[in-house]
Amino acid sequence: MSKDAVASAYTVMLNDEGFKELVVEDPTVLDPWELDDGEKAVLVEEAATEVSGYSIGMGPVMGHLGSGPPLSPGVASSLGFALNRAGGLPTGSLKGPGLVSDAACCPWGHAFVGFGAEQE
Amino acid sequence: MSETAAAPVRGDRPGGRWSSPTLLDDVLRLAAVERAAAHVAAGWVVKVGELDPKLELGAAVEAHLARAVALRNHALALLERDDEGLTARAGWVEPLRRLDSDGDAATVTAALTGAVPAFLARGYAELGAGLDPLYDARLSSTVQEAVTALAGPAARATADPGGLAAALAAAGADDESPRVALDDVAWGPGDRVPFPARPAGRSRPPAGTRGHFAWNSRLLDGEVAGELNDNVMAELCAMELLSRCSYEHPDEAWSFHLSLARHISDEARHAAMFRRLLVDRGLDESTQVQHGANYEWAYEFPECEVGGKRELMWRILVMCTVLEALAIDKLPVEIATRDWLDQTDIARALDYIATDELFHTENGLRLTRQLSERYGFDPMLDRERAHGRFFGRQRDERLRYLAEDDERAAYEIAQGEGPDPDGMPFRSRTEVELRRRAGFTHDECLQVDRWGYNVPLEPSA
Repeated sequence: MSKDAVASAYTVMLNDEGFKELVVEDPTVLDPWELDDGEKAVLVEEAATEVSGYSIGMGPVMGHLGSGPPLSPGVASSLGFALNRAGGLPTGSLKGPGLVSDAACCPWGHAFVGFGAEQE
Repeated sequence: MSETAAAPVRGDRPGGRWSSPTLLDDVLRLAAVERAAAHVAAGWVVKVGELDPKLELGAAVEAHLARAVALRNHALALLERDDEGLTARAGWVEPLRRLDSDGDAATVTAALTGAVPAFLARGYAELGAGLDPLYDARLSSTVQEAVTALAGPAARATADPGGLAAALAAAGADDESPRVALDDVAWGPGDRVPFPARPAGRSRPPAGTRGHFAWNSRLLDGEVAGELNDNVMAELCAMELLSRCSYEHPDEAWSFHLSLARHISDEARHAAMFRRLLVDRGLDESTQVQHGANYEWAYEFPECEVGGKRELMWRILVMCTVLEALAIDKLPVEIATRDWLDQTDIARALDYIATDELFHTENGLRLTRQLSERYGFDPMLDRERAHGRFFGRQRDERLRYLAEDDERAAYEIAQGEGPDPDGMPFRSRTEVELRRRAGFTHDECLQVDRWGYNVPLEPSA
């Protein structure tokens, strides 16, 4: 349950840059989650770390979450969604002009051709 | 057994404990060679360009591994379940290790489709000749099946390129190299292969192009050829990626490799099915483009250590629990479309493939759950992240391609947003019941539904 609480607080931090700053300034904003001191410290450390691009999701919180039982499904999915959104990655199927593709491995859609083209 | 006197050593019995004095080692040796041959095939599938031998190697991964597992089980029975006795001499597979490290596509293909089957066929025949048909009935059955399966490839082995079969025969007499655990007889990967080999002389479209797009009616030969050919490419990518998952992680359990191998040989068969449809319709595959899209997008991820277990996890998550699972939702639409267009040959092929997708998905769910338990991953979280990176890389490359040529982009966008060329009336939905049969949890069904590939589920679902 506590692991879910850490993940949920981290999800809010990923979705709301202002909240992340608040965590650094005033860690009591984490009080609504049932966190022990160690968990709070991990979240504060994360909030104080500048991350972008690939390094999003490679900080102390994800290290903390990387052991023990899996998160509750909804919490895990929400966290993954938030990590992708923060990293500028798609959170669902590709949409938009010229982007429609299903990248299927089996016969129902077609991927965009990859970098191998440049290897020839 | 309580003892009033020292029991005679069973192995010292005249003629040996079993039907032949060397029975256990004979079985272990063949098991080791089969496992090593599967390993080499799994590593080289992606590096062979021509499609006939590529698919043959893909099928060989499962054939070798299934026999290896069967022999391992027989050996374990002879050992009275003492798995510490499951050992092999490192030297027995040394010629295959050298083939893997020093060979090229031509020599490896010749070896795995000729010399190695010929060597194994002789080994099984010699083993079978010494068995007691009653005492060794189960082992005899395995041996007979192997002899039958290997007869065809062995008959083609008119030469022994590089002296591999001779080297394997000589290595079989090795009684000096150290004994290692049979499960560890395969060696670590000798390379990374980010781009798969494809047939020489066939053009690759530029990066960012869509592999195939139905610009015109699906009834036109050109569209059918493009569609079927792109399906071949997709099947190759799945076969190749999973082959590398096996090859690059020899430390995983044999059951893990066998599960992958079954999927790998299915993909080889699927590619062969689409190639047969091309031939049956008089369509020339050699004029079609080639690429390795899904393999390249899913081979490595910036979030994952190169060659690490999270990379393995993400590969299987993407291939088996995202793409293959979406096929569960999408194939009913594809099949309905082909039946609706009276393309019953294609519809029937897709029906067969659809039955395999349930296994591929179930297999992928099971393997990724096992990896999660062992290495501390989270299937829901990691699937979400792997999905984002896999499609994010494609999106970025597609946007670069579109930005490169405004006129081309405008044309492709207009074509893509136009009405379906055949007025096809079917739309996909998240097939919750089928997915549940494949092992998806309800939460996992909701996860994919949220991604928006299908008509959204009713809120009550």
